[in-house]
Amino acid sequence: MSVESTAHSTPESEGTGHAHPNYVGIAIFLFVVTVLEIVITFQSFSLGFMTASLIILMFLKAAGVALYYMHLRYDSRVFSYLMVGGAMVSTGVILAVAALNNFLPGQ
Amino acid sequence: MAAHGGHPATSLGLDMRKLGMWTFIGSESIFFGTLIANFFRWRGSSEGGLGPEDLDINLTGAGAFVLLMSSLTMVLALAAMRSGRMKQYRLWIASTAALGIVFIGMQAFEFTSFGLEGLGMSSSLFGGAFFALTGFHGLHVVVGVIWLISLLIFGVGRDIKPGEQVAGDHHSFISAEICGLFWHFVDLAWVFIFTLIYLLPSI
Repeated sequence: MSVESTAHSTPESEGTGHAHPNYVGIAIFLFVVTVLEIVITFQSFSLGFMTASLIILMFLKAAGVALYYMHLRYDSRVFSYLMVGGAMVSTGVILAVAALNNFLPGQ
Repeated sequence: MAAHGGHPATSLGLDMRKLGMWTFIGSESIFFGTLIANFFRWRGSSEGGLGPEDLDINLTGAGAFVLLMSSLTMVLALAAMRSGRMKQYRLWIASTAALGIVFIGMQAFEFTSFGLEGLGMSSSLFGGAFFALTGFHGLHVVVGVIWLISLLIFGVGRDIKPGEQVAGDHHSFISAEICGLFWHFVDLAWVFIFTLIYLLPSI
């Protein structure tokens, strides 16, 4: 079975490729999340809440760019595997360095 | 297996150039991850000089907006090429390159400011880690801008007739698309760098 058949597609996208998302809408979403990140940075919430919030917002923006601007949502899953694979190794390296230097919570 | 615009397809049926770019992006993710890990290791080693608390969030926040806008103009360029609107395609590509140059200017200003205040690659371990990470990102932006300008100079897409509906595997479209993937990755890297390097140390 061709790997390309695992890509998401809709009937109207056949022949011209995949359906196109609302790029401007996604840009507005990314801008709003960025503003939110900056606003949170200057607040006086607890450190844990602010850290978790910023990381969640960071991943939201990353998902928006990867899924819609880089078309991972509509393209072959092989590309997603390559992207996620690299990201997992990258995350592992960061966590390993943090653990080795006692930066992880509880250390 | 059908060839894509003269380029032989891979055994997965995917364009080899696109597969190659995604493989490169996967490896670059690891590269930036190690640089971020290195920054985390040495961020406390400012040795009396400038440290992470001295980073300018306002300037880099503006840089984040500039890069996000450039990602928008990049996808609009590809959408324009898809529907044969080549004049708009060239306009959006030029806009993307211009925004990239603005971002580079902001980075240059930041680096110069830090340099004048005594922070450099060899001034402290923090300085080395900071400039290694942001410097390599800036280098990627420079490469991206050169690539975008080359799309215009070498006339990628000049074989597309006005109003022609371009298929996703059209060789000119893929040429522009892989440039777009690289550019979006540069933006994606900044999403992580901005939060992890600039925002988190400031809270």
